[in-house]
Amino acid sequence: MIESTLSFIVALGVAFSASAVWRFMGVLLSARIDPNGPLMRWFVCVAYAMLAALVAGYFVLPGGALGTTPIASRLAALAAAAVAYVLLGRRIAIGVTVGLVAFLAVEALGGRIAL
Amino acid sequence: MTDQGYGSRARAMWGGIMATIGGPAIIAAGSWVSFGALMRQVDLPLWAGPALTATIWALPAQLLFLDLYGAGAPLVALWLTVSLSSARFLPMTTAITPLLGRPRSLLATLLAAQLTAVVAWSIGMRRCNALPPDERLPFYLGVGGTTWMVGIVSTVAGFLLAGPLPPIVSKALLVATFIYLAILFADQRQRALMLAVAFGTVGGPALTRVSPEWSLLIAGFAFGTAAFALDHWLRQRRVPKA
Repeated sequence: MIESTLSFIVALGVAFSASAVWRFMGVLLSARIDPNGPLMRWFVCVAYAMLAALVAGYFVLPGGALGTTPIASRLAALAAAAVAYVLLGRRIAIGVTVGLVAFLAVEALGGRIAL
Repeated sequence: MTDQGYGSRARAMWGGIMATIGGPAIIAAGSWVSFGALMRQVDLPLWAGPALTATIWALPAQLLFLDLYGAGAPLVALWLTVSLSSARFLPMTTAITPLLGRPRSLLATLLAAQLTAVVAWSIGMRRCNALPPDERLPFYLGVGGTTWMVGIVSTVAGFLLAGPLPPIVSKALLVATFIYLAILFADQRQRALMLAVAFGTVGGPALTRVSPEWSLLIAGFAFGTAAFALDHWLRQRRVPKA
């Protein structure tokens, strides 16, 4: 028990360092870059493209928990959310709520929710 | 909040906390509850889940950790795999740090970097510029600290739930998370960032088929660079030649 606890803590430390090193390198790097210069604008573009790819992957790839829902429910949710967000004052809570309702509605119509 | 900010550093931190409680906290909670439920299925004690969330604070890296640790992988493999999945933090913290204003100690800046995750980062990127310089770091620490604490508590809650969430609930949580992040990313005022998000969204999933391990990094650098270059080219073209 003590041995397995110790091995977990060592592994945790290794994983922590592997994650933290990138965060801290970003802090150090930012100090050497002109915040308004082209290099910083490039870094911001890279960060957004990377996160957009991550989020889009959750949505379309079959591996995630959403992989088992039909693409129609997912697209309905996204379209409803986008329309509601733009038309109803650009409030994120409204976009998410409307998108979620649309998703559940399409799932229920498809008979995938026992009501 | 007014254009003058919150009025003091303490109130800016409180403002960050209040900006997070509600929608963003629910979004952050969703994925961590699922992670906590997963922790029950592996042979680790209750405290292991919150310990992972509190220190690594990156869901993809933590999922990889469970895989590799469960399989008894060597520590070098563990370090390399987690490192690869966490490399996305480099551009993220490089981008957010200059927005955190002044004054800020190195220690507080590193803390901000450690608390950085997708939700907090997206809020910080949108809001920090509008605040007075001295209120930005406290605001961001308020946002990051709140999502972090919500993450830890949700990991425990997910473990303590009787079993995995009903499929429809976990799907609904995922859909809500997706829509939330999609809106945060899509609603950009700057053309370069709109392009980066559009290219990453379309190209990222396609790249996953080519190389699942490297796809995120490649997508970020390839599509981020493409967006930056296209935006730069469009700028140059609009400026009339003297």
